Amino acid sequence: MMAVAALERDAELMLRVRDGDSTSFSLLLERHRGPVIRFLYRMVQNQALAEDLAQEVFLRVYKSRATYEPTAKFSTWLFRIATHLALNRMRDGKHEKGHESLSTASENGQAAHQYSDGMPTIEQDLVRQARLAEVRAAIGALPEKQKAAVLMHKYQEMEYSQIAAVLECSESAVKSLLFRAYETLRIRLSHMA
Amino acid sequence: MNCPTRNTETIDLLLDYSAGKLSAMQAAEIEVHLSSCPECRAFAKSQHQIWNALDTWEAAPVSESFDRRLFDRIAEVERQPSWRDWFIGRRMWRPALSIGAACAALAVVLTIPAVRDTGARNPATPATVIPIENTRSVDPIEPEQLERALDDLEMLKQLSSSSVQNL
Repeated sequence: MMAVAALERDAELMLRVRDGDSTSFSLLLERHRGPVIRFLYRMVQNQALAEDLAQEVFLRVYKSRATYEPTAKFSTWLFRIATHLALNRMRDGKHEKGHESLSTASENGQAAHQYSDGMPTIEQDLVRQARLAEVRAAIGALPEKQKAAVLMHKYQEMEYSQIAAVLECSESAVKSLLFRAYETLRIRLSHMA
Repeated sequence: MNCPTRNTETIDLLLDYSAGKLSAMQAAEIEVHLSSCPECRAFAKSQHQIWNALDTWEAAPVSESFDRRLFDRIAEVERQPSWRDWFIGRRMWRPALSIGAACAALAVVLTIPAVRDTGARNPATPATVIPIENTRSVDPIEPEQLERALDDLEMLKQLSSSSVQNL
């Protein structure tokens, strides 16, 4: 029920943006900025590029405000734009596969896990960073649509129907994408069990 | 329960079970199946491990200047003429160029007079049409000639039928 209310709230806010209410746009930005950037970051694996693409997403939302109609969930529309931009950038080859170095990841402020003794040892932190690099590489190696489906399913916790709407395919196709993607990840990350 | 690993339509049950998204009743139903299906049990276990591995990938925080940069870009867009944004933003110039090129090509085709074949015959193809100037003049058939020809044909017909009867 709360989720439904939130979705209706999104549409209501966007209709106010259509009517010229900039405060409503700020509220939508506040609510969806984080999820969009995190999704794009995991798609392109570059924080600066992810923020650049996210800005483009919200810019397009703003430009489209005059013709907005709540025919689909606002978040579905948002992630559809984000997915298209990410896929286009990756296909154009402008995406710099500069996987962040371990030191860069630390500078980005990725929180260190809290271990049982409260403070991670250097060895534990190195192991964690190595595992993280493997996860990122495994995700990065997935075909584009499988990658997008996994990221939306795992990290955005989207329903299959919404993922299907974002990727503009059937639910069956989404389940097939996810099944193949997780199968690949299982094979690649099996040693991490 | 049909084995979820053998049907992509129900594989989501195992995925959701591994992610802890099922209700207690649904989870209990899955666990009954898992107790007797080694394949699904292995799938669920490995899927749970994958989930844990993916959990280690945390995203970096959003930069503090994100909103300011976005609103700067919006302000820039607002300063541009609306027609420019409508035309360029929608990339209308691309189809417009294509349509214009097509119209220009059509105009060229229509204005160039067609080249007619005035008698040259392509030796590779048999002549199916004889140019008028190459035909010999044909004498018109007299009505009496036609009548005599028809009478001859009738006679031949009668002769052939009588010879068949005599066989």
